Amino acid sequence: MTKKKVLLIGWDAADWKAMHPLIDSGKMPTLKKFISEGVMGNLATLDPPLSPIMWTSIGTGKTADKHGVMGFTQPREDGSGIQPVLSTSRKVKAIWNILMQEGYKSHVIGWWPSHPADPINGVCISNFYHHSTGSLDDEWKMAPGTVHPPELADILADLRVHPEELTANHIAPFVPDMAKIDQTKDQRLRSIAKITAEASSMHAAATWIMENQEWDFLAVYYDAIDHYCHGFMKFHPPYREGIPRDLYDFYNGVVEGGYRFHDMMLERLLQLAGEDTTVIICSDHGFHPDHLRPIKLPKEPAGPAAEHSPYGMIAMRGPNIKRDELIYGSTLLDITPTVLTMFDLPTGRDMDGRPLLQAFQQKPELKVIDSWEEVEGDCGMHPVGEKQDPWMEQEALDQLVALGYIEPPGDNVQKTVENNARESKYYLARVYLSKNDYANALPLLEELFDKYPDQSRFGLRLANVYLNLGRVAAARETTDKSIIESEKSQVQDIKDNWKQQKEQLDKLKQEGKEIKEKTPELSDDATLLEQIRKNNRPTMELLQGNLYLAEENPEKALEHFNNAKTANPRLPDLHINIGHSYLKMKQLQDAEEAFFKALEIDPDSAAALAGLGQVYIQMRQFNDAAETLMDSVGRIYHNPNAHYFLGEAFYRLGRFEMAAQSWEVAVTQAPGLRKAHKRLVDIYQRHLNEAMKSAQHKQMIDKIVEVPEQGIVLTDNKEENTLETILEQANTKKLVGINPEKIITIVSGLPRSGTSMMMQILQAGSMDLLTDAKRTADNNNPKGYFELEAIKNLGKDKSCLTDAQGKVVKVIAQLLAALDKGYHYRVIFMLRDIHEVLQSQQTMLAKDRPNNDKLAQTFQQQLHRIQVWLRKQPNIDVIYVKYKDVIQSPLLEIEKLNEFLDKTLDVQKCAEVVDINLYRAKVTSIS
Amino acid sequence: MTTSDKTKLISPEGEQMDIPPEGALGLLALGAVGLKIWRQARKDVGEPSHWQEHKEPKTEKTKND
Repeated sequence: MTKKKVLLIGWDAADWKAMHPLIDSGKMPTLKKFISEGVMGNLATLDPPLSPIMWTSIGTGKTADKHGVMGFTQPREDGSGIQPVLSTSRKVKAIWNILMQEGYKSHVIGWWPSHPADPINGVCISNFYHHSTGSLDDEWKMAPGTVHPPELADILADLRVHPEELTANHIAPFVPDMAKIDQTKDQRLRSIAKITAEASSMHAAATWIMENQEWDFLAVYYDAIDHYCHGFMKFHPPYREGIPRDLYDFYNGVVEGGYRFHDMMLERLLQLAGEDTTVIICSDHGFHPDHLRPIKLPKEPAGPAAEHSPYGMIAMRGPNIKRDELIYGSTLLDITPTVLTMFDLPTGRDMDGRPLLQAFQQKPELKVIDSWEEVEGDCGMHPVGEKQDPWMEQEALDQLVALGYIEPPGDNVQKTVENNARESKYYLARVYLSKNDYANALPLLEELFDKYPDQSRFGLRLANVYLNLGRVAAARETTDKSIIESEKSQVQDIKDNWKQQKEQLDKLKQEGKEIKEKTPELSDDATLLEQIRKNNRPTMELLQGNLYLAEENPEKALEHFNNAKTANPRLPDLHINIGHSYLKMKQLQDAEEAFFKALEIDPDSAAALAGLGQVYIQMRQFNDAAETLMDSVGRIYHNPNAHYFLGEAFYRLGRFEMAAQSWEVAVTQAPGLRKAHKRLVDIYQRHLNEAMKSAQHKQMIDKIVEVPEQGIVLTDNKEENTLETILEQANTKKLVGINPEKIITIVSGLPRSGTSMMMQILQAGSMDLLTDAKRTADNNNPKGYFELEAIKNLGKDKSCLTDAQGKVVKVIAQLLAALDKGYHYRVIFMLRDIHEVLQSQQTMLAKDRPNNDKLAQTFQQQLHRIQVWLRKQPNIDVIYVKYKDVIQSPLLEIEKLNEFLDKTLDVQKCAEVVDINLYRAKVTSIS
Repeated sequence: MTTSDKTKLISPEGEQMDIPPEGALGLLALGAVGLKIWRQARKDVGEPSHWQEHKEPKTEKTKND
């Protein structure tokens, strides 16, 4: 039997619309041959369309709320600022981890994010590998952790190509007239050299591994197409008004050159992979190469993503892959399940994608397990102790700073970290929105809009959530507020820019320089506002129209849409909304015309096709409806409404099994979609003779509860997370024969978990406490905190531990990892219901923070990591003490503690200090 | 299809191909092998063959420099 091998090639931003003309004209011969021998199709992207998020989804089969990578940057662990997103942010196994666990040898090159490199059984080269810094004369260091195994680091470092190594021979294929460019003023040739050199570095590393290492699976990621496109797509033919003609003439071949270079690199990869290897080429999103290119980019973080198109690409070739066929409805979440299926491995039920079975000649047996996360064994991920959810770590850190347990970072750093946390929350909200999970998106967007009312992007998405939850009044109020705040912010921007410009001119005048420009006039606020409103009018009219449409007032909605059309007839989504207005008014021919118009602007619009399909159902043209709706879900598979209407079309055609299948997809994509469940109850009972399935869907309908603030909730989906279940197991004693005077006893746990009470108990038991009494008793801790101020700085200075030998010192759980490994420790770890802990912390902070469940989850995750870490430490003994048990049965619990402390306590005296009156923050609803 | 030995590039027809010291996109597209051959060709004509060889020892500059 032939050994299974899979090569996964990532081409960031590759787009069929850009490649088709090149393939047709023979400029990408390797890809042309490749697709004639395999399958090809669109790969629907995800929202937000940010590469680190999406490549992690490609590599895990999971959406960002599960995999944890939430953008380009993350806060540093020590709170000192931000850093590029790291592989350790990934909370779940990637395909290479799963394959390693199953005995397959995997190599990963350049995946985003993959730094530090995963310790897998093959070679892992991180996404920090190829970035060139400095000039050729400088030392080009490689960051530690870039290459695994480290012994290959020198060989692979030599294979990096520096941009300044490149010559005119390398650049001329992109810019034939490069000699005419004044490079002192125009840096674009340098940019091409950098992109090309970095792609060459990755390619050299990948080919070296293929030439020199055994492999079953190899994934290599190229970011260059995305970079060529962001820099030069504006110059790509056809020429557009507003683009400087001379620059267009110089640079109109760069994007084409980039694609052709990738075709050449593909030839080498295929040569090394051999015919028996299944090869997948995919991109995370497309890049508009045509009239859909935006003229202006939004002024917001990750604004350039507006140039991305919602369709990436996929092409596959291999022993069991169909030849010369199109595949439909693929999403980038399907790549990992498809690769697992190629290796005859089960997919995980917790994965959001599904295997692309339509691509296989002989359909493989579909195997499923609950989750690969539960499968034990070395999978080449970083140790558990190193894993983290940086965003919630930051939030947890903020809470600890506010509580006075950790020093706050400086002002600028705080601002930077805050901005990044803001973007991360926004991206997470968008992830939830893309899954129609309004209940989770809502609190995030409410928090963001409350905190940043001048950012209309938050307000408008929040209004959209309200609309989907049927809260039209709240949607209208939020839209209005958002518009007002946005206008204010735009007026201020204009005034700030004017001031800056004036200051610069004044400075030049003072320096005696001749100024040709006149100092610009600044209009009054009212005039500025009028101008802004004029510019924004199409968008505002569209927003107003949407609100009326949601209020079931299509006539009024149309008035606004028509106003928007007059101002800007090519506004995205405008004609789709006009179509839906006419659909509601039963003016079917007008609706059809509007959806046609939308398709004329964007022939790939899945939303326009879905609308058109609904029109055909109303027109009773069921064949056309089914065909159009299939086209729609073939482009964007995740669209429960389109699947619902496709079910309707099949039903009317008497194709009951297909109808049931479509409705099943609809309820899978949108759990609780009542109308689809109702149709399934009916069709299984009346047409398909499947009483059991009918009953199941009836049961599902009974479980659907529409909660006003959250939308649809399935009542059996709730799980209570309590700390009680997490840390039950203490480890066996390791500190045998150690002089007790050398052992440091530590009382630890989360702040407000009973650590101060435990310090009192130990004091009463005649143990020597190490405190400085700087933090005095207050209403929150009437008997005192028993803290040592220097402990807060343990991460940087461990000298305070010298005095702690033979004594007891309080150290919060999050700082345990900073303990000096040179000492021996006994840790008394306090456990308390996480909700009680948080309630007590909030009382102490005198504030009511939203998202307590998320904070609770983060604290629980932190505790779990700390528990695992503690178990591994040879110099630390641990006893877990439940706060509630101490309160309820002090003698029994202190007796256990006395055993742990080698019977040094006076149990009776210790028990006397336990004061049940201080047990104030109780969560009674949780057992 | 192109194959290579240590310093030469051989075409599918068995002909030895010239490696320009100035390089070519096609050589980069060959990956590690193409990169090594190109660097060797640079070395053969006395050009620095590798980015590390461009590195010049840093000399401390005086205020008068």
